[in-house]
Amino acid sequence: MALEERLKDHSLVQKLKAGDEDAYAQLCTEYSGKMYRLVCRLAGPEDADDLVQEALMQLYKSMGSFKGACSIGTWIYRITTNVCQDYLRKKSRRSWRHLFSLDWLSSETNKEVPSLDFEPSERAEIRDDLDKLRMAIAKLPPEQRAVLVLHDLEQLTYQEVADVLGIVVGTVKSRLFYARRKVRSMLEGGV
Amino acid sequence: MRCPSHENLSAYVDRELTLSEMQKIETHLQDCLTCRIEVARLEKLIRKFNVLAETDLPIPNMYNPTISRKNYRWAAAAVVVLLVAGSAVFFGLRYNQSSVAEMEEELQYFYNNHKDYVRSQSTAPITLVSWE
Repeated sequence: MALEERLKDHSLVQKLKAGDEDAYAQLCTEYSGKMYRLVCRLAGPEDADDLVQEALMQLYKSMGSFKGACSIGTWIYRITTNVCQDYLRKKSRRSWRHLFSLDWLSSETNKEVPSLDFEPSERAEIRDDLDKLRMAIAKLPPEQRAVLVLHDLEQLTYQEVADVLGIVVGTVKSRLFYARRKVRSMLEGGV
Repeated sequence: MRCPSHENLSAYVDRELTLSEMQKIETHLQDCLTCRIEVARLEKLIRKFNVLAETDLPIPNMYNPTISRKNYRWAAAAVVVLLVAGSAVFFGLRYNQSSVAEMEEELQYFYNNHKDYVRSQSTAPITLVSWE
């Protein structure tokens, strides 16, 4: 993390610990969108609003216990991920197929492939694959999905993923490998 | 050198190995077509994830700071309008109620002073309507 970001984080943490409501509002404004996206990716959109609210409540309650050992972003991801895992655990009696509806995957998302550095043929192939890819991620076991979403979609490093999930880097590496292998085989097998 | 594990190839693509491990795999890749194919397949998959990360899940307006601020402004404006309208209705009703009370008093006064005249004009008993 850059020094400037660390200082900004430090200043925000001090304000939060002092019970500054404006700092909390700033935190919510800055991160609630990211939290919503993470919740949708980990637990589906069905109860996403409630889960974000729950995570924000837990953030508020646990502000005093934040030691600053990791960045605020990592801390927020950890709380949000824990809320999602609790939610999935409570629903674990049901099959993963019913954990959340997959209809939203094709209806609410942007179909346009962004202007990254792709050949035209590859762009077309990727566009066709996106729905399958979303479906494949949704079908992963929760612990593999969490690692893959945090690393490959939220762009966290192995160490950050380990911090968020409370596991060692070696486990991140291993889960990510198995998650990718499953996704690839689902894509090749038509999901 | 033996082929590295697929797990290590996955971490290699992510640049998450130590420098010496990265160098060993790079050297190995120069001679091993199988591992080069595996690395290419992994890179292709990761490019798809990158696209997904860029295009996925538009964030609802309530979580969009810019739009939320606009909404707060609209909400504040709506609250002001409601307060003004509510005050007008409240004070209007109070005004009407006091007017009715005054009318009732006047009628009562008129009736008390002109009982004979009122009775001569109407056979029906006169009752004052309460607005409460």
